[in-house]
Amino acid sequence: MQRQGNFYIFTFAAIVCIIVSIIVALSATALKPRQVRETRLDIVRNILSVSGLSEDEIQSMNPDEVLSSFQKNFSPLILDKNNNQTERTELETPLLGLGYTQEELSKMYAFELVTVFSKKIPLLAKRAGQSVNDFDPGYKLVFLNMKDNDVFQYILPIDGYGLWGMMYGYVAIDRDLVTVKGIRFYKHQETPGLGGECEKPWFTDQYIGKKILNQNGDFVSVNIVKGKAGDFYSGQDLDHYIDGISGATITGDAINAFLKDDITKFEPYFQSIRTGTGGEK
Amino acid sequence: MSPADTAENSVITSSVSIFGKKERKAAFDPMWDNNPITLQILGICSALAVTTAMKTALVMSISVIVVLALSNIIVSSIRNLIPAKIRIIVMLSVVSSLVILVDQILRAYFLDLSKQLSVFVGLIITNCIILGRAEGFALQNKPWTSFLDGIGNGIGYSLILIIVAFFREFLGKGEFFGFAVIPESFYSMGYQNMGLMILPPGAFIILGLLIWLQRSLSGKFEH
Repeated sequence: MQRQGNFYIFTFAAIVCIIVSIIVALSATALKPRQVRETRLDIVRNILSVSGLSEDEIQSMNPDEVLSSFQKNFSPLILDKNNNQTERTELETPLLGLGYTQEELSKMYAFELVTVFSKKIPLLAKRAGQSVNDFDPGYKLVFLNMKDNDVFQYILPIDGYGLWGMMYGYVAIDRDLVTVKGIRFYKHQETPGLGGECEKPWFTDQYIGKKILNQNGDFVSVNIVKGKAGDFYSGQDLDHYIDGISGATITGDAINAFLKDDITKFEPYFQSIRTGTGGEK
Repeated sequence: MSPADTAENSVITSSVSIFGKKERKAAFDPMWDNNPITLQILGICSALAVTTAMKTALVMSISVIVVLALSNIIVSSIRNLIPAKIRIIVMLSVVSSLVILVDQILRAYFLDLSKQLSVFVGLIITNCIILGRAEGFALQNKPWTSFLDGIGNGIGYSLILIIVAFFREFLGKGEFFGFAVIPESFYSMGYQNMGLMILPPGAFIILGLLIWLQRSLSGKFEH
Protein backbone atom coordinates (compact mmCIF):
# COMPACT_ATOMS: atom_id res chain seq x y z
CA MET A 1 0.00 0.00 0.00
CA GLN A 2 1.20 3.50 -0.74
CA ARG A 3 2.49 4.89 2.55
CA GLN A 4 1.98 8.55 1.80
CA GLY A 5 -1.52 8.26 0.35
CA ASN A 6 -4.39 9.96 2.14
CA PHE A 7 -6.28 6.71 2.61
CA TYR A 8 -3.32 5.07 4.31
CA ILE A 9 -2.75 8.09 6.58
CA PHE A 10 -6.36 8.18 7.70
CA THR A 11 -6.51 4.43 8.30
CA PHE A 12 -3.28 4.51 10.24
CA ALA A 13 -4.44 7.45 12.37
CA ALA A 14 -7.75 5.73 13.11
CA ILE A 15 -6.06 2.50 14.17
CA VAL A 16 -3.61 4.34 16.43
CA CYS A 17 -6.49 6.28 18.03
CA ILE A 18 -8.51 3.14 18.70
CA ILE A 19 -5.63 1.15 20.19
CA VAL A 20 -4.43 4.03 22.34
CA SER A 21 -7.89 4.82 23.67
CA ILE A 22 -8.57 1.19 24.52
CA ILE A 23 -5.33 1.00 26.52
CA VAL A 24 -6.02 4.24 28.40
CA ALA A 25 -9.64 3.31 29.11
CA LEU A 26 -8.72 -0.17 30.31
CA SER A 27 -6.04 1.08 32.67
CA ALA A 28 -8.30 3.78 34.09
CA THR A 29 -11.13 1.32 34.75
CA ALA A 30 -8.91 -1.42 36.12
CA LEU A 31 -7.11 0.88 38.55
CA LYS A 32 -10.16 2.90 39.67
CA PRO A 33 -11.17 0.75 42.69
CA ARG A 34 -7.63 0.82 44.00
CA GLN A 35 -7.36 4.61 43.51
CA VAL A 36 -10.67 5.20 45.31
CA ARG A 37 -9.45 3.08 48.20
CA GLU A 38 -6.10 4.87 48.42
CA THR A 39 -7.78 8.29 48.42
CA ARG A 40 -10.18 7.13 51.13
CA LEU A 41 -7.32 5.77 53.23
CA ASP A 42 -5.45 9.02 52.83
CA ILE A 43 -8.37 11.07 54.15
CA VAL A 44 -9.05 8.64 56.98
CA ARG A 45 -5.38 8.65 58.05
CA ASN A 46 -5.46 12.44 58.18
CA ILE A 47 -8.56 12.41 60.35
CA LEU A 48 -7.01 9.85 62.69
CA SER A 49 -3.86 11.94 62.84
CA VAL A 50 -5.62 15.20 63.73
CA SER A 51 -7.61 13.40 66.40
CA GLY A 52 -4.36 12.83 68.26
CA LEU A 53 -3.07 9.47 67.03
CA SER A 54 0.69 9.61 66.47
CA GLU A 55 2.20 9.01 63.03
CA ASP A 56 3.92 5.86 64.29
CA GLU A 57 0.64 4.38 65.47
CA ILE A 58 -1.02 5.12 62.14
CA GLN A 59 1.91 3.70 60.17
CA SER A 60 1.79 0.50 62.20
CA MET A 61 -1.84 -0.17 61.25
CA ASN A 62 -2.66 -1.99 58.06
CA PRO A 63 -5.24 -0.44 55.71
CA ASP A 64 -8.11 -2.55 57.02
CA GLU A 65 -7.34 -1.61 60.60
CA VAL A 66 -7.20 2.06 59.65
CA LEU A 67 -10.65 1.87 58.07
CA SER A 68 -12.21 -0.20 60.84
CA SER A 69 -10.79 2.05 63.54
CA PHE A 70 -12.29 5.01 61.70
CA GLN A 71 -15.67 3.27 61.32
CA LYS A 72 -15.71 2.36 64.99
CA ASN A 73 -14.62 5.66 66.54
CA PHE A 74 -15.90 8.32 64.21
CA SER A 75 -19.41 9.11 63.18
CA PRO A 76 -19.79 11.61 60.36
CA LEU A 77 -22.57 14.14 60.61
CA ILE A 78 -23.88 15.91 57.52
CA LEU A 79 -25.22 19.41 58.09
CA ASP A 80 -26.95 21.63 55.56
CA LYS A 81 -26.38 25.37 55.25
CA ASN A 82 -28.80 26.09 58.09
CA ASN A 83 -26.88 23.64 60.25
CA ASN A 84 -29.73 21.15 60.33
CA GLN A 85 -28.72 17.54 60.59
CA THR A 86 -29.22 15.73 57.28
CA GLU A 87 -29.69 12.03 56.64
CA ARG A 88 -27.68 10.23 53.97
CA THR A 89 -30.88 9.40 52.08
CA GLU A 90 -31.46 13.08 51.35
CA LEU A 91 -28.25 13.06 49.32
CA GLU A 92 -28.74 9.59 47.91
CA THR A 93 -32.24 10.09 46.49
CA PRO A 94 -31.34 12.82 43.98
CA LEU A 95 -28.17 10.91 43.00
CA LEU A 96 -30.22 7.78 42.27
CA GLY A 97 -32.01 9.86 39.67
CA LEU A 98 -28.66 10.48 37.97
CA GLY A 99 -27.94 6.81 37.39
CA TYR A 100 -26.05 5.85 40.55
CA THR A 101 -27.16 2.53 42.01
CA GLN A 102 -28.18 2.17 45.64
CA GLU A 103 -25.42 -0.39 46.08
CA GLU A 104 -22.74 2.04 44.88
CA LEU A 105 -24.05 4.81 47.10
CA SER A 106 -24.29 2.64 50.21
CA LYS A 107 -20.64 1.67 49.84
CA MET A 108 -19.52 5.31 49.87
CA TYR A 109 -18.26 6.92 53.03
CA ALA A 110 -20.15 10.04 54.06
CA PHE A 111 -17.30 12.31 52.91
CA GLU A 112 -17.27 10.65 49.50
CA LEU A 113 -21.04 10.98 49.23
CA VAL A 114 -20.82 14.71 50.00
CA THR A 115 -18.04 15.15 47.43
CA VAL A 116 -19.99 13.32 44.73
CA PHE A 117 -23.10 15.33 45.56
CA SER A 118 -21.23 18.66 45.42
CA LYS A 119 -19.86 17.77 41.99
CA LYS A 120 -23.38 17.08 40.72
CA ILE A 121 -24.95 20.26 42.15
CA PRO A 122 -24.94 22.18 38.82
CA LEU A 123 -26.64 19.26 37.09
CA LEU A 124 -29.16 18.69 39.87
CA ALA A 125 -29.95 22.42 40.00
CA LYS A 126 -30.61 22.42 36.28
CA ARG A 127 -32.97 19.48 36.58
CA ALA A 128 -34.80 21.13 39.47
CA GLY A 129 -35.05 24.30 37.37
CA GLN A 130 -33.32 26.42 40.01
CA SER A 131 -30.16 28.48 39.97
CA VAL A 132 -27.12 26.80 41.52
CA ASN A 133 -27.14 29.23 44.46
CA ASP A 134 -30.80 28.63 45.28
CA PHE A 135 -30.49 24.90 44.93
CA ASP A 136 -27.19 24.31 46.74
CA PRO A 137 -28.04 22.81 50.14
CA GLY A 138 -24.49 23.68 51.28
CA TYR A 139 -23.83 20.27 52.80
CA LYS A 140 -20.82 20.13 55.06
CA LEU A 141 -19.38 17.48 57.28
CA VAL A 142 -18.29 17.29 60.87
CA PHE A 143 -16.71 14.10 62.15
CA LEU A 144 -17.71 13.22 65.70
CA ASN A 145 -14.95 11.36 67.45
CA MET A 146 -16.85 9.08 69.83
CA LYS A 147 -15.64 7.60 73.07
CA ASP A 148 -17.97 5.55 75.29
CA ASN A 149 -21.03 6.67 73.30
CA ASP A 150 -20.21 10.26 73.92
CA VAL A 151 -18.73 12.89 71.62
CA PHE A 152 -15.15 13.46 72.58
CA GLN A 153 -13.93 15.66 69.72
CA TYR A 154 -15.39 17.48 66.74
CA ILE A 155 -13.29 17.32 63.59
CA LEU A 156 -13.95 19.89 60.88
CA PRO A 157 -12.50 20.01 57.39
CA ILE A 158 -10.82 23.33 56.58
CA ASP A 159 -9.61 24.61 53.25
CA GLY A 160 -8.74 27.84 51.55
CA TYR A 161 -6.35 29.60 49.25
CA GLY A 162 -2.76 29.88 50.47
CA LEU A 163 0.10 31.65 48.71
CA TRP A 164 0.47 29.29 45.74
CA GLY A 165 -2.69 27.22 45.73
CA MET A 166 -5.45 25.57 47.72
CA MET A 167 -4.59 24.27 51.18
CA TYR A 168 -6.59 21.43 52.75
CA GLY A 169 -6.65 20.30 56.33
CA TYR A 170 -8.58 19.34 59.41
CA VAL A 171 -9.01 20.93 62.80
CA ALA A 172 -10.04 19.00 65.91
CA ILE A 173 -12.05 20.79 68.59
CA ASP A 174 -12.59 19.45 72.08
CA ARG A 175 -16.01 18.44 73.38
CA ASP A 176 -16.16 21.75 75.30
CA LEU A 177 -16.35 23.35 71.81
CA VAL A 178 -13.79 25.96 72.81
CA THR A 179 -10.39 24.27 72.92
CA VAL A 180 -8.48 23.29 69.79
CA LYS A 181 -7.08 19.78 70.03
CA GLY A 182 -5.08 19.62 66.84
CA ILE A 183 -4.69 20.85 63.27
CA ARG A 184 -3.25 19.25 60.14
CA PHE A 185 -2.63 20.45 56.63
CA TYR A 186 -2.49 17.41 54.42
CA LYS A 187 -2.38 19.02 51.01
CA HIS A 188 -0.87 22.36 50.09
CA GLN A 189 1.61 23.89 47.69
CA GLU A 190 3.32 26.36 50.02
CA THR A 191 7.05 26.98 49.60
CA PRO A 192 9.00 24.22 51.35
CA GLY A 193 11.00 25.66 54.22
CA LEU A 194 8.81 28.78 54.42
CA GLY A 195 5.03 28.41 54.18
CA GLY A 196 5.56 24.67 53.89
CA GLU A 197 6.50 24.66 57.58
CA CYS A 198 2.74 24.76 58.27
CA GLU A 199 2.74 20.96 58.22
CA LYS A 200 5.58 20.65 60.75
CA PRO A 201 4.84 19.63 64.34
CA TRP A 202 6.52 22.72 65.84
CA PHE A 203 3.90 24.82 64.12
CA THR A 204 0.78 22.64 64.38
CA ASP A 205 1.46 21.73 68.02
CA GLN A 206 1.11 25.39 68.95
CA TYR A 207 -2.61 25.16 68.20
CA ILE A 208 -3.18 22.50 70.83
CA GLY A 209 -4.93 23.98 73.85
CA LYS A 210 -5.72 27.32 72.17
CA LYS A 211 -9.27 28.62 72.51
CA ILE A 212 -11.63 29.76 69.77
CA LEU A 213 -13.87 31.75 72.14
CA ASN A 214 -12.71 34.62 74.36
CA GLN A 215 -13.74 34.92 77.99
CA ASN A 216 -16.96 36.74 76.99
CA GLY A 217 -17.91 33.77 74.84
CA ASP A 218 -17.40 35.62 71.55
CA PHE A 219 -15.89 33.78 68.62
CA VAL A 220 -12.34 34.96 67.88
CA SER A 221 -10.74 31.88 66.25
CA VAL A 222 -7.02 31.20 66.69
CA ASN A 223 -4.70 33.57 64.86
CA ILE A 224 -1.11 33.43 63.71
CA VAL A 225 0.79 36.63 64.44
CA LYS A 226 3.78 37.97 62.56
CA GLY A 227 6.64 37.11 64.89
CA LYS A 228 6.27 35.80 68.43
CA ALA A 229 2.79 35.83 69.96
CA GLY A 230 4.34 36.56 73.36
CA ASP A 231 5.65 39.92 72.10
CA PHE A 232 2.15 41.21 71.38
CA TYR A 233 -0.18 39.52 73.82
CA SER A 234 -0.13 38.34 77.38
CA GLY A 235 -2.34 36.55 79.86
CA GLN A 236 -5.61 35.17 78.60
CA ASP A 237 -5.25 36.90 75.23
CA LEU A 238 -2.42 34.49 74.49
CA ASP A 239 -5.04 31.73 74.28
CA HIS A 240 -6.01 32.98 70.83
CA TYR A 241 -2.63 33.67 69.25
CA ILE A 242 0.33 31.60 68.10
CA ASP A 243 3.82 32.34 66.72
CA GLY A 244 4.10 32.93 63.01
CA ILE A 245 6.41 31.26 60.52
CA SER A 246 9.20 33.64 59.55
CA GLY A 247 9.13 34.42 55.85
CA ALA A 248 5.58 33.14 55.46
CA THR A 249 3.32 36.04 56.37
CA ILE A 250 0.94 35.45 53.48
CA THR A 251 0.53 31.76 54.27
CA GLY A 252 -0.18 32.72 57.89
CA ASP A 253 -2.76 35.32 56.93
CA ALA A 254 -4.40 32.83 54.59
CA ILE A 255 -4.64 30.16 57.28
CA ASN A 256 -6.11 32.71 59.71
CA ALA A 257 -8.74 33.71 57.19
CA PHE A 258 -9.96 30.28 56.14
CA LEU A 259 -9.73 28.76 59.61
CA LYS A 260 -11.95 31.57 60.88
CA ASP A 261 -14.39 31.24 57.95
CA ASP A 262 -14.68 27.49 58.20
CA ILE A 263 -15.24 27.39 61.96
CA THR A 264 -17.73 30.27 61.64
CA LYS A 265 -19.85 28.10 59.37
CA PHE A 266 -20.25 25.59 62.20
CA GLU A 267 -20.65 28.18 64.97
CA PRO A 268 -24.51 28.12 64.94
CA TYR A 269 -24.38 24.33 65.31
CA PHE A 270 -21.83 24.54 68.10
CA GLN A 271 -23.85 27.29 69.78
CA SER A 272 -26.94 25.08 69.77
CA ILE A 273 -24.98 22.31 71.49
CA ARG A 274 -23.41 24.69 74.00
CA THR A 275 -26.79 26.08 75.04
CA GLY A 276 -28.74 22.83 74.56
CA THR A 277 -26.57 20.74 76.81
CA GLY A 278 -25.46 23.45 79.19
CA GLY A 279 -25.23 21.08 82.13
CA GLU A 280 -22.73 18.81 80.46
CA LYS A 281 -19.19 20.08 80.40
CA MET B 1 30.33 -28.05 8.36
CA SER B 2 27.59 -29.68 10.35
CA PRO B 3 24.28 -27.90 10.90
CA ALA B 4 25.06 -27.64 14.63
CA ASP B 5 28.17 -25.56 13.87
CA THR B 6 26.28 -23.06 11.79
CA ALA B 7 23.70 -22.74 14.52
CA GLU B 8 26.44 -22.06 17.04
CA ASN B 9 28.04 -19.50 14.75
CA SER B 10 24.81 -17.67 14.25
CA VAL B 11 24.29 -17.53 18.02
CA ILE B 12 27.70 -15.94 18.39
CA THR B 13 27.10 -13.36 15.69
CA SER B 14 23.69 -12.47 17.05
CA SER B 15 25.01 -12.22 20.60
CA VAL B 16 27.63 -9.79 19.35
CA SER B 17 25.01 -7.66 17.71
CA ILE B 18 22.85 -7.70 20.86
CA PHE B 19 25.46 -5.62 22.61
CA GLY B 20 27.75 -4.49 19.84
CA LYS B 21 29.51 -1.16 19.46
CA LYS B 22 26.41 0.61 18.26
CA GLU B 23 24.32 -0.67 21.15
CA ARG B 24 26.94 0.28 23.70
CA LYS B 25 27.13 3.73 22.20
CA ALA B 26 23.33 4.04 22.35
CA ALA B 27 23.21 2.99 25.98
CA PHE B 28 26.26 4.70 27.48
CA ASP B 29 26.78 7.87 25.45
CA PRO B 30 23.79 9.70 26.95
CA MET B 31 24.95 8.94 30.47
CA TRP B 32 28.09 11.02 30.15
CA ASP B 33 29.41 12.12 26.72
CA ASN B 34 26.05 13.23 25.42
CA ASN B 35 24.04 13.75 28.59
CA PRO B 36 20.56 15.06 27.77
CA ILE B 37 20.55 17.67 30.53
CA THR B 38 24.11 18.93 30.78
CA LEU B 39 25.03 18.74 27.08
CA GLN B 40 21.78 18.80 25.17
CA ILE B 41 20.08 21.04 27.79
CA LEU B 42 16.79 19.17 27.43
CA GLY B 43 14.20 18.53 30.12
CA ILE B 44 15.26 21.44 32.32
CA CYS B 45 11.70 22.29 33.39
CA SER B 46 11.16 19.08 35.34
CA ALA B 47 14.75 19.10 36.54
CA LEU B 48 13.91 22.33 38.37
CA ALA B 49 10.46 21.37 39.56
CA VAL B 50 10.88 17.96 41.16
CA THR B 51 14.34 18.27 42.67
CA THR B 52 13.46 19.80 46.04
CA ALA B 53 13.56 16.31 47.56
CA MET B 54 15.37 13.13 46.55
CA LYS B 55 12.29 10.97 46.88
CA THR B 56 10.31 12.90 44.28
CA ALA B 57 13.37 13.11 42.03
CA LEU B 58 13.81 9.34 42.20
CA VAL B 59 10.18 8.59 41.36
CA MET B 60 10.26 11.10 38.53
CA SER B 61 13.46 9.48 37.22
CA ILE B 62 11.96 6.01 37.24
CA SER B 63 8.83 7.26 35.50
CA VAL B 64 10.87 8.99 32.80
CA ILE B 65 13.09 5.92 32.24
CA VAL B 66 10.03 3.68 31.86
CA VAL B 67 8.20 6.06 29.53
CA LEU B 68 11.33 6.75 27.47
CA ALA B 69 12.27 3.08 27.03
CA LEU B 70 8.75 1.99 26.15
CA SER B 71 8.04 4.89 23.80
CA ASN B 72 11.32 4.22 21.99
CA ILE B 73 10.47 0.53 21.57
CA ILE B 74 6.95 1.23 20.34
CA VAL B 75 7.90 4.02 17.96
CA SER B 76 10.79 1.98 16.63
CA SER B 77 8.67 -1.13 16.04
CA ILE B 78 6.14 0.81 13.98
CA ARG B 79 8.71 3.10 12.36
CA ASN B 80 8.21 1.53 8.93
CA LEU B 81 4.45 1.95 9.15
CA ILE B 82 4.19 5.53 10.40
CA PRO B 83 3.37 7.93 7.56
CA ALA B 84 5.93 10.74 7.61
CA LYS B 85 3.28 13.45 7.49
CA ILE B 86 1.67 12.52 10.79
CA ARG B 87 4.66 11.05 12.61
CA ILE B 88 4.82 13.71 15.33
CA ILE B 89 1.19 13.33 16.36
CA VAL B 90 1.49 9.54 16.31
CA MET B 91 4.54 9.70 18.59
CA LEU B 92 2.74 12.15 20.84
CA SER B 93 -0.23 9.83 21.25
CA VAL B 94 2.07 6.93 22.07
CA VAL B 95 3.98 9.01 24.63
CA SER B 96 0.90 10.52 26.21
CA SER B 97 -0.86 7.18 26.65
CA LEU B 98 2.26 5.82 28.35
CA VAL B 99 2.36 8.85 30.62
CA ILE B 100 -1.32 8.46 31.52
CA LEU B 101 -0.62 4.82 32.31
CA VAL B 102 2.27 5.75 34.62
CA ASP B 103 0.16 8.46 36.26
CA GLN B 104 -2.72 6.05 36.91
CA ILE B 105 -0.40 3.46 38.42
CA LEU B 106 1.26 6.03 40.67
CA ARG B 107 -2.17 7.21 41.84
CA ALA B 108 -3.26 3.67 42.61
CA TYR B 109 -0.12 2.50 44.38
CA PHE B 110 1.89 5.56 45.49
CA LEU B 111 -0.73 8.20 46.21
CA ASP B 112 1.56 10.21 48.49
CA LEU B 113 4.30 10.56 45.90
CA SER B 114 1.81 11.15 43.15
CA LYS B 115 0.41 14.10 45.15
CA GLN B 116 3.89 15.54 45.64
CA LEU B 117 4.74 15.22 41.95
CA SER B 118 1.31 16.70 41.10
CA VAL B 119 1.22 17.92 37.51
CA PHE B 120 4.81 17.03 36.71
CA VAL B 121 4.03 13.40 35.91
CA GLY B 122 1.57 14.60 33.29
CA LEU B 123 4.17 17.03 32.03
CA ILE B 124 6.52 14.16 31.15
CA ILE B 125 4.62 14.28 27.86
CA THR B 126 6.16 17.65 27.10
CA ASN B 127 9.64 16.61 28.22
CA CYS B 128 11.76 17.34 25.15
CA ILE B 129 13.98 14.32 25.81
CA ILE B 130 11.19 11.86 25.07
CA LEU B 131 9.93 13.28 21.81
CA GLY B 132 13.52 14.14 20.90
CA ARG B 133 14.67 10.54 21.25
CA ALA B 134 11.62 9.18 19.44
CA GLU B 135 12.12 11.55 16.50
CA GLY B 136 15.91 11.58 16.53
CA PHE B 137 16.70 7.95 17.30
CA ALA B 138 13.81 5.47 17.42
CA LEU B 139 12.52 6.42 13.96
CA GLN B 140 15.84 5.37 12.39
CA ASN B 141 16.86 2.41 14.55
CA LYS B 142 15.78 -1.10 15.48
CA PRO B 143 13.67 -1.66 18.63
CA TRP B 144 16.47 -3.19 20.71
CA THR B 145 18.94 -0.37 20.03
CA SER B 146 16.15 2.16 20.61
CA PHE B 147 15.31 0.51 23.91
CA LEU B 148 18.94 0.83 25.02
CA ASP B 149 19.01 4.43 23.85
CA GLY B 150 15.87 5.10 25.89
CA ILE B 151 17.32 3.51 29.00
CA GLY B 152 20.63 5.33 28.52
CA ASN B 153 19.03 8.73 28.09
CA GLY B 154 16.66 8.05 30.99
CA ILE B 155 19.57 7.20 33.26
CA GLY B 156 21.58 10.19 32.05
CA TYR B 157 18.64 12.41 32.92
CA SER B 158 18.09 10.67 36.26
CA LEU B 159 21.72 11.03 37.34
CA ILE B 160 21.60 14.79 37.00
CA LEU B 161 18.17 14.98 38.62
CA ILE B 162 19.31 12.99 41.62
CA ILE B 163 22.55 14.95 42.04
CA VAL B 164 20.65 18.25 41.92
CA ALA B 165 18.06 16.89 44.37
CA PHE B 166 20.79 15.68 46.72
CA PHE B 167 22.33 19.13 47.02
CA ARG B 168 19.00 20.94 47.23
CA GLU B 169 17.62 18.66 49.93
CA PHE B 170 20.87 18.50 51.87
CA LEU B 171 21.69 22.20 51.81
CA GLY B 172 18.12 23.46 51.85
CA LYS B 173 16.54 21.20 54.43
CA GLY B 174 19.46 19.34 56.01
CA GLU B 175 17.86 16.06 54.99
CA PHE B 176 18.70 12.98 52.95
CA PHE B 177 15.68 11.10 51.55
CA GLY B 178 13.56 12.83 54.18
CA PHE B 179 15.78 11.91 57.14
CA ALA B 180 17.47 14.70 59.04
CA VAL B 181 21.23 14.21 58.65
CA ILE B 182 22.55 17.42 60.17
CA PRO B 183 22.70 16.97 63.92
CA GLU B 184 20.73 19.32 66.19
CA SER B 185 23.99 20.52 67.75
CA PHE B 186 24.95 22.18 64.44
CA TYR B 187 21.74 24.18 64.51
CA SER B 188 22.26 25.23 68.10
CA MET B 189 25.75 26.39 67.12
CA GLY B 190 24.15 28.71 64.59
CA TYR B 191 24.09 26.65 61.41
CA GLN B 192 21.13 27.49 59.20
CA ASN B 193 19.55 25.70 56.26
CA MET B 194 20.03 27.52 52.99
CA GLY B 195 16.42 28.37 52.11
CA LEU B 196 17.48 29.59 48.67
CA MET B 197 18.31 26.03 47.63
CA ILE B 198 14.68 24.99 47.97
CA LEU B 199 13.51 27.84 45.74
CA PRO B 200 13.85 27.67 41.93
CA PRO B 201 17.03 29.83 41.84
CA GLY B 202 18.77 27.16 43.92
CA ALA B 203 18.13 24.62 41.18
CA PHE B 204 19.46 26.96 38.53
CA ILE B 205 22.65 27.58 40.49
CA ILE B 206 23.32 23.88 41.12
CA LEU B 207 22.43 22.93 37.57
CA GLY B 208 24.72 25.65 36.21
CA LEU B 209 27.61 24.44 38.35
CA LEU B 210 26.96 20.85 37.29
CA ILE B 211 26.92 21.72 33.61
CA TRP B 212 30.20 23.59 34.01
CA LEU B 213 31.79 20.71 35.93
CA GLN B 214 30.51 18.01 33.59
CA ARG B 215 31.54 19.85 30.45
CA SER B 216 35.03 20.60 31.64
CA LEU B 217 35.53 16.98 32.80
CA SER B 218 34.19 15.43 29.61
CA GLY B 219 35.99 18.01 27.47
CA LYS B 220 32.87 18.59 25.42
CA PHE B 221 32.21 22.29 25.39
CA GLU B 222 31.71 24.95 22.81
CA HIS B 223 34.60 27.34 22.29
